[in-house]
Amino acid sequence: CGFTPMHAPQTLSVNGAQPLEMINIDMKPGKDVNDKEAGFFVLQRLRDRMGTNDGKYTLTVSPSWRRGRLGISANDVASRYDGTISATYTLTDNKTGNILDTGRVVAVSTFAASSDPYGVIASNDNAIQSTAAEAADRLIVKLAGYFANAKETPASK
Amino acid sequence: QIGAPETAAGTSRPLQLAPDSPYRDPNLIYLEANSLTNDEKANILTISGEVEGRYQDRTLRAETVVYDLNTGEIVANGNVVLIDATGSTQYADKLELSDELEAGTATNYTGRIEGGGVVGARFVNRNTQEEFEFYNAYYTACELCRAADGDVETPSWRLRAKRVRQDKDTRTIRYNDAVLELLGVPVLYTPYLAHPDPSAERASGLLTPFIGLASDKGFTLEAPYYWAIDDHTEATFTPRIFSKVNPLMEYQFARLFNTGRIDVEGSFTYGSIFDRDGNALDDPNRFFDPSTAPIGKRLRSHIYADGYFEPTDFWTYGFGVQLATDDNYLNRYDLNEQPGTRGVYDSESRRNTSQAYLVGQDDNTRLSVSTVGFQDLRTRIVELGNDQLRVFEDNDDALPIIAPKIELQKYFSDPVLDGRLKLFGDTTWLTRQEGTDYGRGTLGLDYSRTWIAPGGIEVQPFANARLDYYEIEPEGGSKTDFSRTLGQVGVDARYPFIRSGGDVTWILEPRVQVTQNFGDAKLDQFTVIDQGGFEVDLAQDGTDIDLDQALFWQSNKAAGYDLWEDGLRADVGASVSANWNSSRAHLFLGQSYTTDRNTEFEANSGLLADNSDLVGLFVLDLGNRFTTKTRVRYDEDSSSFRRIDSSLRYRDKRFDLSTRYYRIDSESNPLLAINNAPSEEVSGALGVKIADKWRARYKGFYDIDSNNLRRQSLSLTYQDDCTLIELTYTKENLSNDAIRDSSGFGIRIALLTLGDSGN
Amino acid sequence: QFAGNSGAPITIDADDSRLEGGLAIFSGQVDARQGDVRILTDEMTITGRQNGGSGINSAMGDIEKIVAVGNFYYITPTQEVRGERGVYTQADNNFTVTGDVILLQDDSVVTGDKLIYNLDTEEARVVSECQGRKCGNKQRVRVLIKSTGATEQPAT
Repeated sequence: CGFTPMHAPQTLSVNGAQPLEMINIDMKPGKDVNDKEAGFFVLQRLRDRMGTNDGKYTLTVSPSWRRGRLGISANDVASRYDGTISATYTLTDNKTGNILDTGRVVAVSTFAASSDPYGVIASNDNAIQSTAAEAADRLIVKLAGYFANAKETPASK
Repeated sequence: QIGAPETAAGTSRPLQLAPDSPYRDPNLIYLEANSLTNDEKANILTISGEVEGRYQDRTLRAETVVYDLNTGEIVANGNVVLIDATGSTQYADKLELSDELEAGTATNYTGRIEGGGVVGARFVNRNTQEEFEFYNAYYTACELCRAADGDVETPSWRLRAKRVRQDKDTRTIRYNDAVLELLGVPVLYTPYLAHPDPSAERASGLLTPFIGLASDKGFTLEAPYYWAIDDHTEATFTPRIFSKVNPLMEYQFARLFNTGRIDVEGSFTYGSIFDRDGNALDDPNRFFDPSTAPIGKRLRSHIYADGYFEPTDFWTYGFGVQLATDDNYLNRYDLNEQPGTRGVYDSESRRNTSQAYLVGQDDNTRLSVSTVGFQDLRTRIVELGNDQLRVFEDNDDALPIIAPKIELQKYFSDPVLDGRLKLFGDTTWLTRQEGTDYGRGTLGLDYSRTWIAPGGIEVQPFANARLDYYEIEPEGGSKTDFSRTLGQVGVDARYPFIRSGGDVTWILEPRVQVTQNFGDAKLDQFTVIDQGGFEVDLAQDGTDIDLDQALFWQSNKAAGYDLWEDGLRADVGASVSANWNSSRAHLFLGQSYTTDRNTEFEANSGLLADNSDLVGLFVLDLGNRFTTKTRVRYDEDSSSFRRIDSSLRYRDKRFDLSTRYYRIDSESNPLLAINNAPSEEVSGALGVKIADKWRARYKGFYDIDSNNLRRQSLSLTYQDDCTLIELTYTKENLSNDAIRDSSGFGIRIALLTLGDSGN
Repeated sequence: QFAGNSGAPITIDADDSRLEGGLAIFSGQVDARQGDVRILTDEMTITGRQNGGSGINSAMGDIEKIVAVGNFYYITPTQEVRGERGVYTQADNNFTVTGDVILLQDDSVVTGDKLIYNLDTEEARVVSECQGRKCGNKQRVRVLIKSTGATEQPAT
């Protein structure tokens, strides 16, 4: 039915090379400390799965972390928080410098706001790390989608 | 050399003079035209035929230019355009210029001031101090466009005045007998008005005043004064005068440094607490418990300070101070209750957060050293019906001071097995006046390696071990300290399949993560019986775990350091995603199985039973015109949804609808009972584009549990390229909270270059 | 004041001069002077009206037309005009200079394609072939005024 393993040699590239392992990641710092922290964990997750190399492509990612209020209680206090990492990315070909693919991935984790502020801080830190891992995985899915399609249509695209 | 190589033709951009440009000579004027007539007897030069003149950095265009060599006066006639260095352009039928091409007088003149303002006048004169005086003139920042029938459309707002004078040294534009016309309707008349000249970068001066009406404070007048102290410091003082309560002074201060900035915002007043109708609560026996009555007039104030510095790419440091003298002060005076921060810790609702932090980060190291303290503002004064008031205080003493909190993550790449090693450390010390003092030091290592097994299976074995040291002292109890070593070995395997070629790209990814935990977590140390015989839980983090698809794949699901799962665990999940042009669909299902789940996890965490709840996620995004996201957690034992969280977003040219619904299984959730948080809520916003520039927008939070529309706001907005008028009505229904439970009406008018007024 | 019928004596120095049926032709660095006006040119042809006189005087007696070609200069104490060709026609008392005309007066400069100076009205008119702002590099009339303070009266 047309499904082939993503990591099999021929799936993502004509000559069997693994394009996912030829990407150099350029993580932008974002506008404040939390964006930078989110970017850090997305970068580590991407490196865990794609390795650290300065190959043919450059993936530029600009992360941003935002926390939204939810569940307004009688004393006007949010009882839940939405932790969202949204990261816009551009994939460029190092040799020619033209932009191959751009897009945006969003990962959300909702956590309960415990009555003690340190509890909220701990859940917030944990939410940053877990959504960062999910955002990184989504980035890899987008890249795989691009390379698979790029292989179908001749390189002249 | 005669004539510049390229003429001034065709450019209305401000001209920059090259350092060696001949035009720097003040006596040099260059004109270009079809013909020149030099009448030697009368000593008059007439240059005509699409004349293009240039003098230093001013450009002149006209049909004819007459230059009287005796008087030095130049008169330009016919479609005259004068563009000066700053790019501001003046159009006129007739323009008398002195020989330095300075504008003298002009008839039916329009000038475009750099920075976006447009001044039009029947007659313009330029006095000797080079200041313009306009007679029966108008000023607007709106784009003047010619209607189909040829005459100029009236702009959405303009200031008409008998006489308008541009004052060069105070850089202001002054009006006599000024009328503000809004959408063609004269709205405001004032004999005298002044506002900074838009081309002035930053000039101190009065900003647009604001007049409002509030149910508790009565008639409100605000007159902000902006003070540009120097090139990198500025301050704004806004006195607010109320009819029902004492006046208040609000101040904002900002200072820029070359590596960062400091912003301070605050206010102060003198008076007593008043309820939502403005009557002071000074009568003690109106209170259920008179001893707790917050009565009396005193100095009340608030301050928010935020410093943020980035001296190098690696280091960032800063601080945040948030203090208020009494809990409902900010709400009573409609001050900003949610101050953003660039710091590490966002403030929660009605809880001030003061912090100092130093963060060092590069591609493989992150170090964060911080300290943070809190101030609760959650006191509620509730009406008990028989005009009695009851004060529900929140206990500030129970709030911790976290000093210090040091986090370290350092990643190394391992050349031998091509894996990666992570050193992680975290030490957190909480001290409380009332409640548990808690200190923890953690140091650990985590090794993992990802490689592609034959057939395309992505296998990531991992192992980590850590050492925890605790010092915990429950309230009134004795301090216990203990340490533990915990470890984990596991493998995370995923087998992604991809199908592309058609216009839809499918990705199917089954995934399994098996983890074996080691070490005695000594979780019994975290529960103590206090004098009253009650069980006290000393664990500080991981208290409210809420399993969702993000937390599902974490190898340590305790969402913190204190809790720890024992034994063998297998997380099994699969996700299917489809992408076609700009649309996307994604489905995920997963469940976690374990041999002996310990009872530390609460029922609502989804991790209580041996088989966890079934975690599901469904996303459908059709070309970001229609997006829906639903996350569920289904408990097989009670065959009920422990958690449903669904959002929907629809957007097109006229409508913008976004709704959010969530429901948490309430009886198993201890948290909800304490501070009456809703276990089921629907919130949403609907924006409708009524007419060309008019939009209406409704936003609301509806607590289904207590059948209360907590907060709602309705706003009507008119917006075009130079005007923003926003009428908002907000209503809060916070179960008869004497102060906060109020509704308010606000107007906000922002006229481009004139300033923004509103509360 | 040049030619015209002021009757002021005209002195012409040239390398070579010859008479050909009513035409007096001077060539080779011609330097003609009348009153305070001076003309320099490579070749000058003067056509006089036949009033019976012959030779150089008849030609000089009543000048009908002067044609000066090549490095033409027309110099007065206050102005200097340069061009390729200068033609004086007694009928309308006009002096027309063509070919990259440059008019200098004190430090001010005017350039154009053609200058028509009327000796009666003392009005100089400079025009260019190309008209309109879209001429771009085909130059129009250009005026560079170096005013040495407005009040000073440039001598006529």
